[in-house]
Amino acid sequence: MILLFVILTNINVNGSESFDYRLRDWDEDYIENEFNVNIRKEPFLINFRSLARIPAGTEEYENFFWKSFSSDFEHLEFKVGNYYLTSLNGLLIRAYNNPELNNDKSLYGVHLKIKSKHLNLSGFTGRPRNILYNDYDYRIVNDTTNNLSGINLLGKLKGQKLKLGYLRMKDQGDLSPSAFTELYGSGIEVNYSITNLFLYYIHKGGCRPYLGGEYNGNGINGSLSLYAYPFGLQIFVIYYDSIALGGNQYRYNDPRPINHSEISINRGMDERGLSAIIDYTLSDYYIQGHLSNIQTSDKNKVVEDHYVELEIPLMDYNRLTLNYEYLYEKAFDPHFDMKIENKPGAMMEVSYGNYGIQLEGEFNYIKTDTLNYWEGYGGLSVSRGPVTITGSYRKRSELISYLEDRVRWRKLEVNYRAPNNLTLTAMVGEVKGGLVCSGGVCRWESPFEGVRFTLKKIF
Amino acid sequence: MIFLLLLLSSTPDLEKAPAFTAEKMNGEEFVLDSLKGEGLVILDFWAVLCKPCVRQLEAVNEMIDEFEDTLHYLAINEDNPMFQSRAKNFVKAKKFKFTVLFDKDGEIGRDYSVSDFPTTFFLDDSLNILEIHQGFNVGDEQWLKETIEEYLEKMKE
Repeated sequence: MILLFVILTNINVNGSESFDYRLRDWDEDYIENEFNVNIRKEPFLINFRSLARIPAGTEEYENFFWKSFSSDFEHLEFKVGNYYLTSLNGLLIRAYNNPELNNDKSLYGVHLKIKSKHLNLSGFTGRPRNILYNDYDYRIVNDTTNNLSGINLLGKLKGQKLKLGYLRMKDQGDLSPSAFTELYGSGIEVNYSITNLFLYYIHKGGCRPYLGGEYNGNGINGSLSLYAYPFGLQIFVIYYDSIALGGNQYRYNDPRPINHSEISINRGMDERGLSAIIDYTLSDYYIQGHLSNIQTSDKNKVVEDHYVELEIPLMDYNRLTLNYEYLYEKAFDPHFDMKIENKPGAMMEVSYGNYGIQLEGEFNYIKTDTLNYWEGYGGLSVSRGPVTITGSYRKRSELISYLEDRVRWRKLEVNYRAPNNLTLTAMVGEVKGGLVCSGGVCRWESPFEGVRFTLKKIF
Repeated sequence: MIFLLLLLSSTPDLEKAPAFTAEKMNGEEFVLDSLKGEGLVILDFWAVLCKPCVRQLEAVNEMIDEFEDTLHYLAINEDNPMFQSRAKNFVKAKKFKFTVLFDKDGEIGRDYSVSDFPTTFFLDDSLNILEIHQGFNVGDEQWLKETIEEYLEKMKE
């Protein structure tokens, strides 16, 4: 009993809880509750996470669960249950959670890592689970019969790294013994003086599921950074030819896009691209430019994204930020064959007595193959201590019925950081829907009108 | 069971910060446990495109000289590995004087249940969590400075 007590009192528990209620269109309820707890007794850890939700316009709730048991000894780590994993910068595998898009990609299985000062060897096996949902839908889960297994080797010496990786995907529903896909990859990460080099290569080979016949793919993903204050330069290059692993809506390997808008044309099927980020600091002024071009091999699909931002310091911590984005899309947006966006924007942050004030504005002139229109946005945020009040207004020049059923969106939000790590947010108004891209995943967010309350607690 | 564990977690005993090993700017490893007994520790989870995070880092950079030897400020970057290079450029350009660490696969962030940025953890010299703070608004510089001073004063007693 005493021993049990001693053990229990040495247990650490931390986690978070978040509750979200939305009254959509002033009519339909949407409820979501996420609970995450870590129960730790070094070197062991149990993690449990649950997400319960009732989609708008429905009656029944649904539940997702994640659970894992892991340990971290000096030379050995293992995890059993749900886990996330990224290898070779996402070219080999990238299982991750993107709460912004309600997209969670985890593996359910075993991950084992043996580590020493200069060498790490890890092995993993698991069943992938891809969860994607929006306010109006029950879950969309790609319950595939795929099983992923692989090995990663990492050699490191004084900050220099050599990586090797292997992954094998077996579709357990396909009874043909040769019905599997393999990925072989390697990578180097070199840190030398003001230079930082990442270079990864992947080869995909295998058998077409159910159809038979071989297919192959190759991919390169690299970046070179130079940082010599006050100047910084980073160049990215991607070349993907049929390396995507997974289905149409989900990918098991999923490298991050290299443009400012985080747009990927087809996520590893056929993409070539270059991107450069230039930073320059002059006194307290800071300028950053991000140029990028991604296209398919036949140039039928193109995304060209250029972004520049200038930060101008004002007195004390006050600041003015000016930015401009040019975005050209060819055959990417399903509504248009061609679309050009020109987006100048500005944001000013000032403090006045005990108040913090943030004022921002953006104008977007959109030219497409079928119509031209503009959108304007203005927002004002005032904070004092733990309370922040934000109001915003957005207007489009004309009604485009197949995009939205309105031309203006108004929103008022109050955020309160309460004691004991509790954050409360209340919002009323309208939020524009549309294509939202993050981490290479884009989805059409349904527009929102109504009331929303969220509560988040870290414990 | 969960109820019992929640009860335990709400006892006045301070929670221990999860141990971690992260990568420094030069690629070498950093172990949190190396700061045991070394004074006040602050963990600041940030991302390069998060404006409030950048504001907090800049504010800390302005004040950190005042807390030399008594405060260990660890800015833990949560960007994707490729964009961590961009974060490195940014850190160099801004001449940050505190330690910047990189959470390669987001594991540290998950261990600390961090979902919003910036999230700041104040730890005592035994690496117990004293306070957690989310967000950074204009005007929070003063709050941050006062909180650091308050904890340093308490730790002297």
